[in-house]
Amino acid sequence: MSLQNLNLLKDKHLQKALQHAPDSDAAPSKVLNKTVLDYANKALKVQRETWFSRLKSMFNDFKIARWKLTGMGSLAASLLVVVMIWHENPDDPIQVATAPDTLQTVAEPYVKQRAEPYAEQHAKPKIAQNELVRDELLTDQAVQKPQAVTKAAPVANEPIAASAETIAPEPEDKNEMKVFAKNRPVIPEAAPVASPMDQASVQLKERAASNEAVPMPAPVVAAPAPSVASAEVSENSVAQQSAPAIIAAEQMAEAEAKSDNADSEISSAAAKPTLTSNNALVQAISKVGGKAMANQDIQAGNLRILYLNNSVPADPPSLDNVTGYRVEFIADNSAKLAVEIATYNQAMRDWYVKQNQ
Amino acid sequence: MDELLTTNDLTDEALMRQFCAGDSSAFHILYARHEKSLYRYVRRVLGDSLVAQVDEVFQDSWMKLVDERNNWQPRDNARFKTWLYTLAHHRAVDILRKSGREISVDEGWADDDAEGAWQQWPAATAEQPEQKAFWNKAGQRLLQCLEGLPALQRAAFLLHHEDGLSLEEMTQVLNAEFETVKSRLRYALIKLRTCMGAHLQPLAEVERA
Repeated sequence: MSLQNLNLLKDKHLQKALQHAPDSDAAPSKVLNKTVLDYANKALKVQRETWFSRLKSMFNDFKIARWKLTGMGSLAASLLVVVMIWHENPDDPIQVATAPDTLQTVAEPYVKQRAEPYAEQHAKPKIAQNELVRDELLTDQAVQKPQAVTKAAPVANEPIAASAETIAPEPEDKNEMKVFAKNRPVIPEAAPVASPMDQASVQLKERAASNEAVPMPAPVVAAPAPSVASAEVSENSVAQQSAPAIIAAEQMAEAEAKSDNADSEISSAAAKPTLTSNNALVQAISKVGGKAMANQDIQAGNLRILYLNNSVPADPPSLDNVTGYRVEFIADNSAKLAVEIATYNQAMRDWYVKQNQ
Repeated sequence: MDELLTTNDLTDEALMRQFCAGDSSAFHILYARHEKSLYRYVRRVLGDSLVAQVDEVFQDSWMKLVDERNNWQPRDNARFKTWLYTLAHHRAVDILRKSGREISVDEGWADDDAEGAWQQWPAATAEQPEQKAFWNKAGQRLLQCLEGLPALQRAAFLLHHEDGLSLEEMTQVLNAEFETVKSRLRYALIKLRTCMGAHLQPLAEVERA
């Protein structure tokens, strides 16, 4: 475009008039000026602080982290020492559990060892001589004895349930039962608790008297061991106080076979422990686990301690020396089942301790 | 001895570089140099109907400049002023669009007799003291005529006559092609001359305003 044409695009008269326009002195206010200038100053301040603050924060973080790192380092060192002590000889081969090569199960010594602390806690009195003998038998080879199969209703193919429990048969040796009753360890007295099982136990007495095998009603877990223990204690104390103590004890022992109990089978606990043909029980324990099975039995009032053995010893314990629960033998010797049985028994003993606290 | 350059002697571009480096005083100088001219430009582009938003556009323009300072990379000797007016023009056009005012009508009247205009007017070069009132009234009349122009033609006229931007710089500010800028400017001049009575005797037209 020519210079002349370009000049035509700028009108001097209009330009001069524009210079004299009324708004030629228009200017931003002081507030507006301050706002803009402050904004620019702040932007520069942030810019300056950015790198400086980063450097400062790095330094501060380093200082803060030092003590944290010190604490963490101490903790790590402590853990390392613990681990080193824990594994004193890391070269030792890992011990593999092996199946027992004898009829004695793995559970029995385990049960015996675990039973000892419980015994100490409750300060049991000295066990009678015959009980000592019985304990010794538990650690010895099992003595073959004609198996006394329970006369109760067969439960081999029945699921282990609270309502499916059967009544143990009449004790075959009442004398033996009396001995056990007399030498039963003294259990600390507990306040007798009214049990809804009382009525059921009365029925049991009546039915037992009539030799009528009636399946037990579904027991309600309302009278755990303490009630049994209290009954036993009250019976024992009465036996001790009355003149014909032995006779009274015998009578009470007999009554106990028919008396109320949270577990109907405990009422006949004096019967010889039998080797249960209990495939269903074994299957149930294997399926649900020892602890779950124990919880089921506890809820059902079926308090017992299980022993693994293919045969019943010559002088088998009818009651567990710690809890007083019925002893039941299971014909199986597999290592896996032994673990579950141990878990089962531990759960039973924990329940006992809980009830006696 | 060569006099040492003070900050006030630095060009806008040098001051802007100093500001980017963290010198707040450089920005203060830049601001003082351009605050009034930019304020007037924003006020005249927005017109009387949007005078309430002049401060907002003005403030936003400077703040955006501060925020974008590190992105300022002048190419081909582009001036700082061009960039500043570009930011302000774009912000003003946003306001105009929101207000619904006519922004651009790239058409105008037929060419008038540009060379014959202003023959009866006093010369624009020299100013006599007694003519000050005349030109004050002419200026008032011109603002009224500017209100009648489309915003982009008004902007083109103001950028070229008030702020001294070249046509090339106006292409950047207006974001338009060179010929478009020329057309807009030509149309604006024709309308303003007609409105101002450039071919008439000035005293009578000014008195009527």
